Amino acid sequence: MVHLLRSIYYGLRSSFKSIITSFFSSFGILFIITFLIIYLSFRTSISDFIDENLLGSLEIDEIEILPINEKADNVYAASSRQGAKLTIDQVKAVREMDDFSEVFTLIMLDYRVRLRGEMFGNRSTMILPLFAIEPEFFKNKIPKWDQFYYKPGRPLKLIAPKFTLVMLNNYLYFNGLPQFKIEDLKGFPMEIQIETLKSPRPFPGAKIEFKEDKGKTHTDLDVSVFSFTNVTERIGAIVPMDFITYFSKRAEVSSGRWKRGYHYLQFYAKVKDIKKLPETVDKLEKLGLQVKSDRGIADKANQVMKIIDAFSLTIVGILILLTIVSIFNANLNVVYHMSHKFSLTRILGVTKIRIIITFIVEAAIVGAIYGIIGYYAGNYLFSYAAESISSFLPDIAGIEFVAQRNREVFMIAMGLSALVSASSALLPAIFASNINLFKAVRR
Amino acid sequence: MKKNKQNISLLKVENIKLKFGSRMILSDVNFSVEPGTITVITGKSGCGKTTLLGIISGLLKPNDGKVYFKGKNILRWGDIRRSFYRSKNIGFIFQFFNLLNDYSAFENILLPTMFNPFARNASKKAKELIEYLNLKAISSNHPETLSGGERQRIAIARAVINNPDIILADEPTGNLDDESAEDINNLFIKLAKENNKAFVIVTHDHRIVENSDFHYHLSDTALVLQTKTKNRSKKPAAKKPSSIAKIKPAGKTSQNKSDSTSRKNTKKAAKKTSAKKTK
Repeated sequence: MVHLLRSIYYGLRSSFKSIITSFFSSFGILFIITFLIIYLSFRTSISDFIDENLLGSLEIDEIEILPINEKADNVYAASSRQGAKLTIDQVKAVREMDDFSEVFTLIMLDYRVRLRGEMFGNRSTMILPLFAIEPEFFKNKIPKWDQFYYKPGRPLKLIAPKFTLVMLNNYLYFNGLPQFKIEDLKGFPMEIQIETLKSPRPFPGAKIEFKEDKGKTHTDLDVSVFSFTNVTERIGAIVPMDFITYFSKRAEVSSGRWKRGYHYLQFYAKVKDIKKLPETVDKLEKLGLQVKSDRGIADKANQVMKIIDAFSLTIVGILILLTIVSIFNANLNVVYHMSHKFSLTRILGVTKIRIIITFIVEAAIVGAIYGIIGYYAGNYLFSYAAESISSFLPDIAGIEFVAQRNREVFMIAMGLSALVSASSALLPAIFASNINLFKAVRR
Repeated sequence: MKKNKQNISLLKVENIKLKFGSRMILSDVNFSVEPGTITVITGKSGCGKTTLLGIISGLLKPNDGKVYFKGKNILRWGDIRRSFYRSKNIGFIFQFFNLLNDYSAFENILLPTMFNPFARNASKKAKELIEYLNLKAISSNHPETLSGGERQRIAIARAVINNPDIILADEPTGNLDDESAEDINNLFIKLAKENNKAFVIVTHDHRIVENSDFHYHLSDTALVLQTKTKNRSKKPAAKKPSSIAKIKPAGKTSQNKSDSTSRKNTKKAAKKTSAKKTK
C-alpha cells in the first residue's frame, strides 16, 4: 500500500512537470475551442432567428393539414369564428394514413372563455379561445414539455402565444418599465371563467365547480403560465388536451345534454418521407383537406445554413489540423528534451505501452483543461461581442445572440480538446517509446 | 532433472548475430555469466560492446541467437515481460550516472522500485544501501550538487535496490578520477563477493579488467575470451541469490583494499601456474 501510494506520488510529481511543459506546447488548442464555442453560439443564434422569423413554427418534415374551406393564410380569422372544422370522417381518415410518423390534433373548446389577469395594479379581462394539442407535439419545442398535463385541483397550465409577450414588452418599454423574458413570466397567476350550458347538475367527485349567476352557468379556474409559443398562429391560449376532454365530459354530464364540447381544427403531421410529399398532398386534397408547409423556405434556409456550416467547419478543420501539427512539433521537442528520462525509465523496466499511455493521458489532461478554459473564454467573448455588436451592425440588431452555456457543449469542448491534444501526442509518444535508449542515456 | 537445473547458467548468450543495415556488428557471440562473478568486455569504441549489453537486457533484439536467463530465452518474450525481467533481474550502471536531477539522491535510489510492482520495503532497503555505501550525508542532496564518485555510488545503489541477479555496467569509471574509480572498482568486487551479484562490465579501465573473473575482448564482431580465473568461475561465492537485507554496512576502504589485494594475488598465482604448465 505504501509502495503503491509512493508510486502514485512520484508518478503525479513527474507528470505534473510534464503537464506544465505540455501546457506551453498545447496553447493552440485554446484558440480552437474558443473559436468553436463562439461559432456554435453564433450559429445557434442565427439558426433560431431563421426558425422563428423565416420558417414560422414548422420543421422541414412537418405540415399543417387544414379544412379545404379554411384560408391557409388567414387562420387568425378562423380562431374567432369557429367555422372551418374538420369532420370526424376526415379526422379518422388522416389518423389512418401511413404517410405520417406522427400526427397531432389541434382542438378548440366550444365554450366561451374569459381570461382575467392583473399586472402593475391594472386588472383586465379578455375573451380568448382555448386550444389544446397533444403534449408530445411540444417535444424539443418548449422545455419540460412532458409536464404539460392537467392535474385536477391544481392551477391549469397555459401556454400563451408569443406575440402577447412582445405586446406586453412593447407596453412596458413605452412606459419606461423593465421588460420580461419568458422565464420571468413562467408561473404567472391568472384566472379563467368558462361559460357552459344552463341547468347544471352536481357531478360527484368532480373538482370543477359549475356556478349559476345571473341566469348563466360558469366555472372559475386558477391558471398559471407554463410557457410561450408561436407554434400556432391562432389567437388563443393552449391548455393541456386532457383538460379539455375532462372539462367537456363534466360539462356534458352536468347539463344532461349531449355535446362534445370541442371540435377539431387542424392537424400537425410529420411526414415519413419528405420526397413523397406531393403524393401525400394529393391524398389529403381528395379528403377535402389542404396542406400548408414551410418546405420551400426551409429547403433554402437549410441550404444557406449548410453553406455556412461547410465554410465554418472547413475553417475549424484547418485550424484543428494546424494545431495538431504545431502540437505534434512541440511534443516532438518535448520528447527530444525528455528522451533521457524516457530512456532511463525504459532501461529501468518501464514498458513501451506505459510510456505511450502516460504521454497520451498527460496530453489529454492538458487538452481537457484547455477545453474547459476555451469553453468559458468563448462564452465570455461571445457575450461581450453580442452586447456590443448591435452598435456596430444595426442591421442584425433583431437577432438575439445567446451564448451556448449547457452541459452538452461543455462536454463537446472538453472532449474535442482532449481528443485533439491526445491525437497530437500519439506519434511523439510512439517515438518516445522507441528511442535509441543507450544513445539517449549517453548524451 | 535436479542436476540439469544446477548446470543452468544464470545468463547464457548463444550465437548472437546483429547487423545494422549491411554492417555486421556482432557475429556468433557466445558467453555465459555465473552468480558472484565479474565479467569484463573490452574493445574499441563503437565495436558493439554497449549494444551487447542492450541485447542482454532485452532492450535490443539481435538478428539471430539466443539469450537465456536461468534457462529461459528472453528474446522470445514480449515487451511487457522483458521490461519486467529488466526491472526485477537487471541493474544498470552508466558512465554518465544518469541520475534524475529533479529527485534527491534518496529518491533516485528508490526510482526502480516505482516500476517494480513486487518491490517491498523499498524505503528500508534504500536506507540500508545508503548506510552500506556511506551516502548518508548526501542522501537528501540533488545529484547536480554531488561529485562524480558520489553520483556513481548513488547509481550503484539504484542498480541494486531491486536486488537484481545481474548488474550491467557501461564504462562505470569512465567519467571518474583515479581515486573514485578505485573506490567504485572495490565496491563492485565487494558486491560480487558478499552479495553474490553477477557483473557484466563494459570498460577500458585496466583496474577493473585486472580484478575481473572473465575478460572478453570484442574485436571484428567476435567476442574472444582473454583470461579466466578458474577458482572463481568454478566456485561461485554462493549459489542462492542474496537479498538486499543481507547487505551489511561495512567500512569503506580497508576491507575493499584487502579484497582487491587478495584477488590480485590469486590472479598472479593462477598466471604462474599456467606459465609452469606451458613450460
